Amino acid sequence: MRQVFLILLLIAPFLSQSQSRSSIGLLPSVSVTHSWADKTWRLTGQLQSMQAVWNNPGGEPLAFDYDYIRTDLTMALSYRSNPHWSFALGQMTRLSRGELVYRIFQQASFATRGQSVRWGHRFRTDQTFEPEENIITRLRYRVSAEVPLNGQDLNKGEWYLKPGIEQVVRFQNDSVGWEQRFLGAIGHYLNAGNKFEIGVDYRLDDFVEGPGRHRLWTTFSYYLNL
Amino acid sequence: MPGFFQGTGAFLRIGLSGPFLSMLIINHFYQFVVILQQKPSKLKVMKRILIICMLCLPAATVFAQEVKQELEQRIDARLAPEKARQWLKEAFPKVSKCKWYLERSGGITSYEAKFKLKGIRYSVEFNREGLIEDVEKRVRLDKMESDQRGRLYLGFAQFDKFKAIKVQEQWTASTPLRLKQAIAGNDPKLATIRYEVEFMAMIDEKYSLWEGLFTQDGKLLSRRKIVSRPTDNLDY
Repeated sequence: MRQVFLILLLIAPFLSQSQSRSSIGLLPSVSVTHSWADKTWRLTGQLQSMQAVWNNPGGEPLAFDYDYIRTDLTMALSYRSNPHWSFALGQMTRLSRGELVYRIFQQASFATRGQSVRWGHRFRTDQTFEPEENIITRLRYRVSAEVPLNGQDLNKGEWYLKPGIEQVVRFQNDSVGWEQRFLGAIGHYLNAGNKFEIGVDYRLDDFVEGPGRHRLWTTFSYYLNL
Repeated sequence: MPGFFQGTGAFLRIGLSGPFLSMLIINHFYQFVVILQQKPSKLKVMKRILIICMLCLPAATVFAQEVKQELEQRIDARLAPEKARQWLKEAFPKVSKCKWYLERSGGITSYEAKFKLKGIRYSVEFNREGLIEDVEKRVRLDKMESDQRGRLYLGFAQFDKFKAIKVQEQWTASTPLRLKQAIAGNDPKLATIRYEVEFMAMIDEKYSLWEGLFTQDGKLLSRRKIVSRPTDNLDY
């Protein structure tokens, strides 16, 4: 927990910048995975909701301003080609302020284990279809680690840390955007079927030409494997 | 689509459980959305957030299932048997820093000491009473004597698409004293040497991760499948 507070402290100066836009909120999610054929194939459903609790849309100091932003339902089918690599195709349906947005994605992920830390690399491309908008294409790369807090292996009933970084490049018409994400969570591995994580997801975009938009989400994630 | 329809009822599971589960989740979350999209007061918002946390997270534990797993826990050196600590001190007098672990596997408890000496990773296993079981040291196949490497490769050749991930040289002996002498004098003649290899290979038409114990001649003595933890939290 100390690490989470440390990250919050480190990020706090960015959030207090007067010109930039900031929000702080919640990002709970539940992922349900069903695997078969000796875990070669997996079907994952994920439900996530984004809610801003404090906002400063015009660059004023952060103020309490609750805003339910969106609900995302994601379904993905993935195929594990070997113990390290898996490939997935998926689609997301987003309900945001009464409008439906659709996204499809293609993903390759690589998981490997060092002496005790497990590393996950995720390469993803996605295409978003919004009403009356041109297609948005994004290229994403995320690296995250799973660090056991007790011993070299993560066992049932133990806690772990999950730091991560993600880079997102966004294309729409002729415009290009760059977003950086820093993730930190503390997780509890209940057993092979269940684990949960609580942490922060800090996102920074519009910083190349604009004053920057800072968003800090408190994440609550539950992973269920059937 | 290798294995897509493998297993009894796989198709039914995909066809029925996927959408059913989705509908269940959608319905569950729709209720959150309805609650949240009403004009809230500050107090009500906090109440809703609490409801979300309560409903979102623990609901899934209903499906919890038990899985047998090897357990390894870091312990304080003082909790390791005195006999084990003494043996380690005599066999490896130059080791000053060492991490101790308690292992439980299939109802058997053992102690393991892990340390690095001259750039090599060692793992020394003791039984519950503190009697030495084996000493394992990490080796690199490319740094191994070519004769020995060649014999091991002969053994590996029985598998399709073989790829070694981690190789450890395992030293055992008839008595603790003999093993201590073998280690202290770096004399392999006093010990039995085997190789514990973590590898990927195509076995039973599946490319998986395995752990095998090989003799110096490359004969496979035993193997067990390594079951990796789900990677859903790294993938999504």
